Amino acid sequence: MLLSKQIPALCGRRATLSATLSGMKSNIRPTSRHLSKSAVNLESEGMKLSESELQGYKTYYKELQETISNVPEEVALQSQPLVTLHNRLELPPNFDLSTLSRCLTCRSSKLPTFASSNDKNSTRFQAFPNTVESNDLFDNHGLNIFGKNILGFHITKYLLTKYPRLPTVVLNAAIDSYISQDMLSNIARSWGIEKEDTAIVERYLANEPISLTLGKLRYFNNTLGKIDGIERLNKGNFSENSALALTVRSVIGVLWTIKPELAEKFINKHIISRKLDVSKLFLFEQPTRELAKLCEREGLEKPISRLTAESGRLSKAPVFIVGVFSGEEKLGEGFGSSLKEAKARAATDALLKWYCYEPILQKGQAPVIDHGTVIV
Amino acid sequence: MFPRFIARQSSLSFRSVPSRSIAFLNNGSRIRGLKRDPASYMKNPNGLEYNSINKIICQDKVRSILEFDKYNIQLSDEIILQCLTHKSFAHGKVPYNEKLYLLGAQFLKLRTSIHSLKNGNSSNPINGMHFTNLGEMSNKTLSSKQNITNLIKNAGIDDIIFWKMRDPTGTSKLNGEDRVIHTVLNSLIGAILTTNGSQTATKYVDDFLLNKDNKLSLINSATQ
Amino acid sequence: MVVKVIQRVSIARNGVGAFVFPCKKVTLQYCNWGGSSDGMRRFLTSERLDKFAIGNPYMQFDVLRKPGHPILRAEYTNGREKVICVRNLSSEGIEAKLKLLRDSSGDQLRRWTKNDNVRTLNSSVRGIWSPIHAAKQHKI
Repeated sequence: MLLSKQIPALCGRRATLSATLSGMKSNIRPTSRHLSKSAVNLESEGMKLSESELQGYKTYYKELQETISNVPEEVALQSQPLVTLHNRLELPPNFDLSTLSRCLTCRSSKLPTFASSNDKNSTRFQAFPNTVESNDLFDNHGLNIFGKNILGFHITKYLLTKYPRLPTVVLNAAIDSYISQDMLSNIARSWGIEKEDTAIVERYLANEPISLTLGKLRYFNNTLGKIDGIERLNKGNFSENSALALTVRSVIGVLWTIKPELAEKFINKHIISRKLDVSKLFLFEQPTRELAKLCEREGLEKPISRLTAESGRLSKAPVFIVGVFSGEEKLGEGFGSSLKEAKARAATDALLKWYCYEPILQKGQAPVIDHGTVIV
Repeated sequence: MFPRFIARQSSLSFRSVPSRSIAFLNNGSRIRGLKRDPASYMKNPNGLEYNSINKIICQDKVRSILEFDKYNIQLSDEIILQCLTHKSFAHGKVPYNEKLYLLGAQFLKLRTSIHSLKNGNSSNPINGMHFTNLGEMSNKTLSSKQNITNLIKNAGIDDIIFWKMRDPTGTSKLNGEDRVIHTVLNSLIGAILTTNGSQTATKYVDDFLLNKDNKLSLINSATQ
Repeated sequence: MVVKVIQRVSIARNGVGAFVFPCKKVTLQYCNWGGSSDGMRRFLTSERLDKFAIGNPYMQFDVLRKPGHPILRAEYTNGREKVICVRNLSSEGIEAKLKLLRDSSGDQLRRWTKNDNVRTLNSSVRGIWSPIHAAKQHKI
């Protein structure tokens, strides 16, 4: 059991090789690239299933449904994509593969897909779904909510400890740039999560083992693929991005149940390690005015801009350096090709230095509690 | 004239620059261009003065009602006052609770979901946690705005909150009273979390706010 | 509100924090009949692939029989794939190519110019030299 977990290649490969030797046809599992024909195409080419094959398909479908509704660990161990994903993310050994497979089942996967709701009776447009109806008890719905709560709290806490004076709008933008749906779906893609995009009937015809689908993302999937020339744009919870984000959140949720510290470590490693320059998020409309208000509130002397250096005032490319001073203290400095521009830059610089202040976090030092953004 | 003015400054001889100062403060109806007397806006809708605040009826009241001493929570008077102050008060000139609220709300949401994970029941728990009942209403109402507002009102600390009404003659819905009130509990939790550490905050939220036996808990105010 | 915001995205830095192995899947395609697949067939029947798979638990290996020259097709986490034709190569040669695919990040190969020695997301620690701020004797 342990061996096959370590060598995901072997289970699949042995089967393939033995099949080749015995000379059975179509036993080699083609990659998904060769299976891009949609079900509608299959039908139009006259590939109708015979009676005995239909029975076989029904059995396959039922088995698939039972497996996904409650993934047995032995079947999950056979799934190469699942095992390699587990290894790639370096998840702890007590993170069960069946649980990881549950993280990949979205609640939207059980929704029926019809080309149009009026055509329910017409078999021509009835889509062959890629996913089976799963049980509500075995999808990632609850895990996602919990993971979202964990993520939201940890990122907020991290940003507020690092930058206690960040204005709320900027704080929210910074949180979004770490854990918005699109960001999380990018992370999921960088983990190499694949979506299940072949119809079940195609998988049956290709003799694909059931375990293979366990390692792929199962969500609401319309079979109007790109091949048909029509693509349905999915909004809200049905889109690919949302499904990928659901998976990331669920994985974090499961890690928390194993040990809360694990989830925190995982968030630090995968999400907080991303690069974000918060000073680039600011956009000041009236920097000088806001700086004046800030100085008034903090009891500092009124800020005064002074020209500290200049070059080529009468040329076509003048440079002015302006410093903004409160009493004898220099708050900020800015350059510009006009006095006005330099003055605005200096005030912006001073404000950024205030808002992006990072306290040195030492033991025994009182935490910084910010008084709030200046309201002009 | 402008360049000469700058040139005079650029010598960096910190001479005092003449500045305009307003001495006249307007009291009563608003007149455009005149500064209002701070005394006219430095009080909450109940008429409580911000500057001459009595510690006993404000900070100590919060401490005793929310049983901070029992959980060994140390919060200074200034921080409690900041938690009681909404952003709308005094044009943001005094410390307000906006960001403490954000942190506290996230923390409370996390703790309530953990609470329902542990106390739920389903046939397929993951490591002993019941995930299937997380999206249900009973869990959502626990940390909802209305529920927290009810708790604060039951505790009787809604009259010492410093905020400004949008329209003093309007209804509480127009003024967003519930929205203002519910920030107080969340920001107090946020303040406990930042100053006393997550262990104390976790213990406080789990044993006080999410305790069925405690009369003043979120569970009891939700079932009311 | 005077402070406004410009929404930006955080940039992934694989290896700072967690390192996710970029190569996720390799498909080894061979032909049962053609002579150019000779080395590949030997590679598949020997213990080499088993050992390689044990050493790389992050990757999925697929074997595909298809007429034509043997190829190695690697899929990466950035969504790209790289294909190497391994016709007439010995099993050692194939393993070398397999290692090449494994060690690649999946990015397109580029020729970096001479001055591209340092590529970083971080701003310079010393700052940029400015003639206006320089000490008096260096001023222009």
